[in-house]
Amino acid sequence: MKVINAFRTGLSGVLGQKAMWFIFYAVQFAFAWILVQPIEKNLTELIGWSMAGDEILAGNGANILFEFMAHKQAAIIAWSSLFVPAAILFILVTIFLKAGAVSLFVKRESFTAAEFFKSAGLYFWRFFRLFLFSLAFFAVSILIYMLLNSLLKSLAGDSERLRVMLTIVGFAILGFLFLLVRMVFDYAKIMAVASGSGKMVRTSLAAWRFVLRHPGKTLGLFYLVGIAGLLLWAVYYGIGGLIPAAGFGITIMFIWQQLFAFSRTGIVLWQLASQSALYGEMHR
Amino acid sequence: MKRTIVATVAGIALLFRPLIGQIIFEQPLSPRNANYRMEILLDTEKKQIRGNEILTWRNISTVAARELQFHLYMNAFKNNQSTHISESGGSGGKLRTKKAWGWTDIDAVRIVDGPDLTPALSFIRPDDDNEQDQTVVSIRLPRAVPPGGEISVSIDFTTQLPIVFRRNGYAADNFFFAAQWFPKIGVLENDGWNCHQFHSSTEFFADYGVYDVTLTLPREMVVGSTGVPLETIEHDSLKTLHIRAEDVHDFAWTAWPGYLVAETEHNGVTIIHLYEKDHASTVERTLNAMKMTMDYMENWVGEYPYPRVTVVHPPTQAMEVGGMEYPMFITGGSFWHMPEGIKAPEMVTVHEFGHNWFYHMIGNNEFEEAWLDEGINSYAEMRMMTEFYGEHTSMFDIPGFQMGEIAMQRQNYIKVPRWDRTLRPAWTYIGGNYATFSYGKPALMLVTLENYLTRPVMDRVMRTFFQRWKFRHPSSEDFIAVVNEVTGEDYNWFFDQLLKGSGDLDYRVASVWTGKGVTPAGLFDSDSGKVLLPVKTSEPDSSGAGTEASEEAAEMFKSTVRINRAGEVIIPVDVLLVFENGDSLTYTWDGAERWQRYRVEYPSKLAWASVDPERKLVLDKNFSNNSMAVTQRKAPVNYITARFIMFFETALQILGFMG
Ligand SMILES: [Zn+2]
Repeated sequence: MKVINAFRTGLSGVLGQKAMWFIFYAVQFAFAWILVQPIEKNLTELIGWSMAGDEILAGNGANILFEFMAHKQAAIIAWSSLFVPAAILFILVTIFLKAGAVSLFVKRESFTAAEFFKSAGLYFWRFFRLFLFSLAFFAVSILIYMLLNSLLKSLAGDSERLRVMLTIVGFAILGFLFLLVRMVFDYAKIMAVASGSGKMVRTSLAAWRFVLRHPGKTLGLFYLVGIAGLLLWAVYYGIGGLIPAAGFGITIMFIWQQLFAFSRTGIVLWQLASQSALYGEMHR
Repeated sequence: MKRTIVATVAGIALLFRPLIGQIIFEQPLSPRNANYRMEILLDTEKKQIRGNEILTWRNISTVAARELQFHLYMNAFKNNQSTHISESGGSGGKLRTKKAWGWTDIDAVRIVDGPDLTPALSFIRPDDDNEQDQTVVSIRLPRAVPPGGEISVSIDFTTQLPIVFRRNGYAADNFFFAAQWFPKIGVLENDGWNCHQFHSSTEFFADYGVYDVTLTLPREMVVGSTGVPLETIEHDSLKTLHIRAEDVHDFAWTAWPGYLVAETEHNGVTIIHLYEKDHASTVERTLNAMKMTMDYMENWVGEYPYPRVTVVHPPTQAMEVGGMEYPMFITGGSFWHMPEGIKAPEMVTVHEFGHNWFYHMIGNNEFEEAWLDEGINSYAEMRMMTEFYGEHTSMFDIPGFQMGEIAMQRQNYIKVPRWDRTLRPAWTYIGGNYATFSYGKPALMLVTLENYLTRPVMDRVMRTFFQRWKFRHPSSEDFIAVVNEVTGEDYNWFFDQLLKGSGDLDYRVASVWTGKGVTPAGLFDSDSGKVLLPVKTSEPDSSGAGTEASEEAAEMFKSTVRINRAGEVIIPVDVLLVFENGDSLTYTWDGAERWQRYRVEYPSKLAWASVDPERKLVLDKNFSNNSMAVTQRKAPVNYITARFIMFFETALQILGFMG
């Protein structure tokens, strides 16, 4: 019951904070929009006046793809040098925004820009330290995966079928470990805000203890929201495939894509909100 | 050695058999001047092939042979100082890490019923001065073999197989593949021996003949090879296979207990498919590709005269032997549950089987003019894949992404169109240029030629070339001569530029303009004296969008299109002007100058113009600039931009997972 309650509370929490939700989405969109500018510019140079662009809309754009790569090589290299700085900046911004969001969810306050950004600033450094600790756990996950993988490979021998299947199993295990680390550190964030403590090593350990003590509830809630995300994804692809790649269809496609991107960011918030609610209920 | 004794016994049983006589074909198809009778044993413990070959060689050149030259290809894998491995820039890879080098030793050689020639052996390096390279050996003869003369030599040899490397060797679970495994005589031409060292980017060259092979190996082995198995004798744990191939220029084989066998019959030819159990899902696809290739090639250039062909899909531990051609015997490759939409197993099957026409029956010198088989065969592959699996879907046909052969073949070439020329010895290319300029560029050149000549004429060229030169060693000049003969015109201008030259080809539309043109202004003479006309519309602008047409319904519009030859290659090209009302005008431009301008007056405004609208010149390195519209066409750009925004949003969302 606690899980279902948290699931519901989380949802209404997100739906009640649409402005915050929009901030998360807008930041993501802005990063993507900036990153795409060089492509837009170079593609316009290549095919902006050409009839060849029609091939893309007809679904056989391979030739243009190769010409783009061949004739815009220098631009592509320059553009790809943006990726790492953009990724680092985006992670930092996400940590900042999540600090604001978790604070609102834990304290059950409603959104005001002042309050949101004040809490974001307040908890940013603590969350940043949690992020650094989580990196260690992500690394450990990869290590476990690699060890397991070499074990599985030796099990498979020269059987191609077994190799493929065990590779899939390996990835599934890696995926599970990653999600587990993510979830534990979500609770670490929640507990950091709830306790007001600045001792992040202690908080991370407490989060692990909390998850290990309530594996059913925490994992259950996590995957319940995950399933909602999967459903969303299925609807997006199911309907998205029907939109024609021509004329007004392109505008519709763009709107549909952005609706999906917007909803997706909601899932992340939903997870944080419902986890905050669950933690709150367990500690009442 | 017990096994050797058994092999000898088995060998004696099979000894009294004709070598050059006809068992498979009633009439020889080829000169049959390099004939091998071999008795060999596969030692699965030592990974060695040991035995004897009796080579009966006839001098079909016009010069006397004072020596014989042999390839010992396997010595390329003897150490990392060989020409092959040093050219590939490696230190020996897994040959070194696994200490599993390969070599061939000639243990003894003598003239049959004649003197011992073993002391007359010496390694030679016709291509470089690499003292460490032992891939060519010369045997001085006590008496020269005159033109038309014949000699038989008996060679005892031992071949150590390397761990699977460059399409040769052994792998786990008793897997064996023997490709360049025996002392193989070079080709004596009128200007001397043609027997090149084994380089990292060369293939092979050999005369035709009969291979009569008895192969002894463990009983549980499933064997595939060049030729036709005639007989199997089992004894204890071993068996001896008698295999015969006529009118071939090489003999390769594989043995592995794990092979499953699929067999089918097509046009009177037995098709054998050896595959590993996890590739069962591509058996049908492979056999269908074999049949379609056979039909296409027979219909296009000439018959597949052999009674049998074997196609091998190696197991995972020996993937590297996949994708190679041998006479009557090819290797492909696949993966467990390869999706239907990825046509890689079909492509490799079509390509390697196609080689049985261009490489095997047309026996060009792959060392010196690799394009003659790889380029022509890639052209054949392009035609077949396009016909079998669709113009835009012949490589990939998966949701959201389609790709055809021509796009794939252009991919590498358009990045480096001026880096090299096609016609040069295969070992003299730099880096990856061998593949680009021996496969992709000549294949695209031949498609271009086909589009220029029309398909029926090109088909006559190809059939004439094949029929005239099958079972011989044609050169590039022989191919060009056939083109000139069939067309009745001199096409050297074409081959000089595209085969022997390194220029690139790029036609583009430089500018388009359409509008009412300049409204008459100024003083004009009339019966009543000078008349001053006013200025009404704007000046024409030749830089691009000239959209400021007059509002009144004018009858005639002026349009200007400028075409530009941005590359070096000059070849006639079509120019198409399309108007807003759907009408079009077509011109042909010889391309001789750097630019050409078209000015037309037409009752409709120009919508767009295109140079080479049908994409006949597939060597054109940039198709995107081959057309230009009067108004900007942003829809495709917007479409891609929207998809990229979504892509980055997804990537960022995943990244945000970390924060
Ligand atoms: Zn090939």
